[in-house]
Amino acid sequence: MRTKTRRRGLARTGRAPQTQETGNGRPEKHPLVWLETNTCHGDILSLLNSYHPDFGTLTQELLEIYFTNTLMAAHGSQAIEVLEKIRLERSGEYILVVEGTVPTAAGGRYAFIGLRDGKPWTALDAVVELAAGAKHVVAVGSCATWGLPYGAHPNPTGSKPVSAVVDRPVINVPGCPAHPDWITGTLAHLVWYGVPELDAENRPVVFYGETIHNLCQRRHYFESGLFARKIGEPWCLYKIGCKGPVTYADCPSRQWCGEHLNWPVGANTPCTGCASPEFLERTAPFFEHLPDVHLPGVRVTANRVGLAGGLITALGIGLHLAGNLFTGRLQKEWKKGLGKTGKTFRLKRK
Amino acid sequence: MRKLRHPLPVRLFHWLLTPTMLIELATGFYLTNPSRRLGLPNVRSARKIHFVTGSLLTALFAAYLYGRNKTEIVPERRDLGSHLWSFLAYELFLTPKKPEFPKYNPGQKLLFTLWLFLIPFVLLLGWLLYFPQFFQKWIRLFGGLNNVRRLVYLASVLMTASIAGHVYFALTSSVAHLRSIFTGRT
Repeated sequence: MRTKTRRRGLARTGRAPQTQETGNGRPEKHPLVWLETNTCHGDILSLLNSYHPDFGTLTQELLEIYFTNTLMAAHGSQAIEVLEKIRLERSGEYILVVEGTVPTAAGGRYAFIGLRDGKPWTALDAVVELAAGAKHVVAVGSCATWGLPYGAHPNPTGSKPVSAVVDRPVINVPGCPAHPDWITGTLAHLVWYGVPELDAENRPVVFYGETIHNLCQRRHYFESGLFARKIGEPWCLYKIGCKGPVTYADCPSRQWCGEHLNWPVGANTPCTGCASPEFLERTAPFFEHLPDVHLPGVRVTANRVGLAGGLITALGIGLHLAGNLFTGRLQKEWKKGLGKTGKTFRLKRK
Repeated sequence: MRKLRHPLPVRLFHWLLTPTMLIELATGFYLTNPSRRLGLPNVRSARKIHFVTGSLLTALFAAYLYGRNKTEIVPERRDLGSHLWSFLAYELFLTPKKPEFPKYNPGQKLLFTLWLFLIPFVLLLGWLLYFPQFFQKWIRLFGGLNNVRRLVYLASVLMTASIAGHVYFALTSSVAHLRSIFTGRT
């Protein structure tokens, strides 16, 4: 019964093509390495919450996960040996998934995968070496895809996204965390059909092809001008900083919380733009419409810059007008101008 | 016979540009912070007006680039030297003697040159926001969609401030010049 449920779940992600079978009649699974670098492990936890297919089906029928330091039983040199073995013996076959930013400062010594030959194996070296032999490289989560938040200013660890440290195309599956469907869907597509259609940011178009704003159930409130003034109100959250208009993801239609139950806007809080390349530094403050403006020594909201611009203009014009009136220039100029008009008028009458 | 200062095409352009620019800025600020106090019925209408006006502004600016003699509005070396100082001395009330300039004073030239860059810059960003998927690579160059929105807003604040200054000086510095934008002659 359990197996049937799993098979049905897998089928719902799309029609799987014929896969090669092993000698025992079971489909051959695709080798995968899930490497966690500077990360909160949110994406692997998100993957564990996948439903269609669930994680069990994924590992039994589609993927052979050789390495994931959150889930694997092996540890220490035993785990590193597996990683080395797949790198050397299955080059060109495995999918490399990287979760987390890659610290590059101090030769990458801010993150170690483990010890190799008794020496620390940095995440930077591991990503570069494993990516070189991988069939596909997938960056999962906004840390791995865009480098943030670990790469946020002042970025002492020199953290970078995966695409900045490997010399080959990287498929980006952003999100904080990435939606389980985005991860499983991308991996299933890679196994069954190859590289999915990608946009200019190397994201699968099937999941990131439209803005949240355009898919939002509250779009009609936006069009009609019905806006929430504070979090918790059931209207369009545009004015309190919703980043839906600048974020590409299908959250409104796919939804979150296991069986597609709800999503941030559905819970009356603005989208923070976690799947956006600008996340986190240029989508913050989360509850402001525009990002802050960085002036020398001070950071102010864009609205205050606008207000200050208006006040300075009004003050400048006001002071100059006062000077014009005080010195009599304005009266003189208008008298001269109007007098000339009057003179012309009189000349014409003659 | 009074001297011709602004030929008909220039005046026509000016009076087409004025409402276009004002509508564009007003609807733009409304879209950034929608409020019923601004008098627009809803966001849908504001968006339509904004992008129709934006298309008109693009066409007007393209016509301007094609037809207008830019040499008379771009500052020359002397406009940034002696002319600028005499202009500033008069406008800051340091001297009562009003300096004479060929057509436009250095302040006007700097303002018009600023617009020569600012208007196409804002138009470009506006079109990036209108076709975000098509211009994804361009948007990346400007730091992403949210940053483009911020740039448009800040550029619009600068544009509004400069227009306010332009209107103020047009109304106060010379009645003859003010008349010429209506009649063509000083």
